[in-house]
Amino acid sequence: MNLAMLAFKNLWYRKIRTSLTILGVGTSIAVFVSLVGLAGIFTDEFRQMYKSRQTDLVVREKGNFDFLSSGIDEKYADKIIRLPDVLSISKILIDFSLAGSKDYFLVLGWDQNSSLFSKLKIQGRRPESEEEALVGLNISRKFKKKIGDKIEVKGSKFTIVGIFESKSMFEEGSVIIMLEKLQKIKKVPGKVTLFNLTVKKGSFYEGKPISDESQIERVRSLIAQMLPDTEVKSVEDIVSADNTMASFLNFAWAVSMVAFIAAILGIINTMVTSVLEQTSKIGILLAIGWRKLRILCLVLYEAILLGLLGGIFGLILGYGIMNVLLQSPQLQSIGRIDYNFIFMIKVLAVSLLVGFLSGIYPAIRAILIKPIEALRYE
Amino acid sequence: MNKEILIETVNLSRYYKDGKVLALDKVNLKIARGEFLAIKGSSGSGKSTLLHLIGGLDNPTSGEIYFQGQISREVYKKRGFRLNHLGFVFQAFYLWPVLNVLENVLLPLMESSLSRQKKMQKAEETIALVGMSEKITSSVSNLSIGQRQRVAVARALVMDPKLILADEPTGNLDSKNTENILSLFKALNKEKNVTIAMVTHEEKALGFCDRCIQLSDGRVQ
Repeated sequence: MNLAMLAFKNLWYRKIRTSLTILGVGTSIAVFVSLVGLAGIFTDEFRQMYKSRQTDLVVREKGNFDFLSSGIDEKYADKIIRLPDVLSISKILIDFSLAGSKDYFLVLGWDQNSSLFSKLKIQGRRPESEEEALVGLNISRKFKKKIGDKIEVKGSKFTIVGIFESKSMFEEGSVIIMLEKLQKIKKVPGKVTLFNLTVKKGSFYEGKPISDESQIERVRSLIAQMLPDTEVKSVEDIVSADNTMASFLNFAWAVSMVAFIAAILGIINTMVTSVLEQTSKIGILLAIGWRKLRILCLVLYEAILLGLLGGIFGLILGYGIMNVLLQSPQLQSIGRIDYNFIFMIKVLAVSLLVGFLSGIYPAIRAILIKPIEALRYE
Repeated sequence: MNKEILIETVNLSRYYKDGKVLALDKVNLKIARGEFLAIKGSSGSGKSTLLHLIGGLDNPTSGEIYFQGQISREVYKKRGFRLNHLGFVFQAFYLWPVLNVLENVLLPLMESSLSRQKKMQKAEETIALVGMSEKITSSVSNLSIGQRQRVAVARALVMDPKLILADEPTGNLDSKNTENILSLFKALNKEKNVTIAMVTHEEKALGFCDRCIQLSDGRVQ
């Protein structure tokens, strides 16, 4: 028998209280897993979308963090493509369209000859006129649309000429129409939300080969100098700096913190009650010569075990909640659950930390017990 | 022949409630090694207080206790001293209900540096000594009162202490179990030369002990 086993048996002895505490801790962990997990899925899908387009840099309006209202002159593309190390540039205009009274979907305006089309797996063809649209697989399934059907985008009717699959579920939840048409609908002629840039790899500078990262950085600074009213960012920068995602992530963390505090208070309450109930048992351990450090460890083990078991339960519950949420019509096009092992390990580490922090106060109370008073307790 | 003195108290006094209540009044007592001592007295006479002070569970207001000639408050502070030299048995047993017989007896051994195998061997031998081998894997919650006290005795014995301090160990037991526990103490005292100081109300305990002291109002009569 060791301390961990003794701690486990102690918890097992108080099954109902232990279960309720694990339920409380698990719920807090589940809130964290589902909210931060959703934020992670959202971010990963965004990142995946750029990666599938082989995007190295994104050019957008400087200082405007709301991509729906930001816009840059599409003629900048002609200047950028003339830079020797730029392989390709794609113009993108982004908007959202309501579908019915509750749902909405992403609308993308692309040039007819955009290289981005080559990154999609298209059943049918790409739009060739302003009345045609290419819809993502998720949109097709969600609204039960097939090629030849009509779809309404921001009040205008479009004929579906193709259905596409993408490596990004986020993109598969969008409708692609001609750039000029979306500019007219949004009333932003000649404007785009951003440019997607692919930089030539394996280049040389002053006769010497340079790394891809250095090459991308060189192009970034060239564009920044040439077009001072734009900002040029790498995919990682744009993903981490996105206002909507950052707000959601902050919200997720804030709610999780409140949940964690509730979990900590729950364990403290359980453990303080347990220490009080076991005062005489702790007293006899002190009387027979147990060191206070061992008593401290025993109480901490119990609290850590509660945290860990709560963490395991919370992971299961959290992924369950995420599954349910991602089945909902509003969120099903956001992405797929990624059962990320590292994330799970981090969650369990946080659970252990919650348990440990919760155990400190009850453990200190336990070692402050005087054997003689403890033995008189019952 | 002079026997070695294991415990000596010199003018031992203990006041409670900021000096308003006197529990022990200048008690001078010697307990020889291998002695089976009964401490008798009415409720509130100070017998449990004396036992707790000897065991280092409480501190005297004045006076001194010597363990084998050394000041107890100094030697008791040494790591593992109480674990290796003192064993406690209480009226309320204080067993861990979540553990079985073997695990309860293993509790003191968790502090020892013996190998796992040695600890198990020691615990099993001690359980056999108190006649509880058949119940070794039973939960203590399922034992009779008498059996629980035997387990408590085994727990007190498992580290081979020099001195067992028993505070009314038969207080919760019926007549038959009282006799059994007293016989067990007597056997341990004789066969293992364990010194025992036992607080008791039992008249029949006197027949098992080498000596009996009577406490009244905190004084030895």
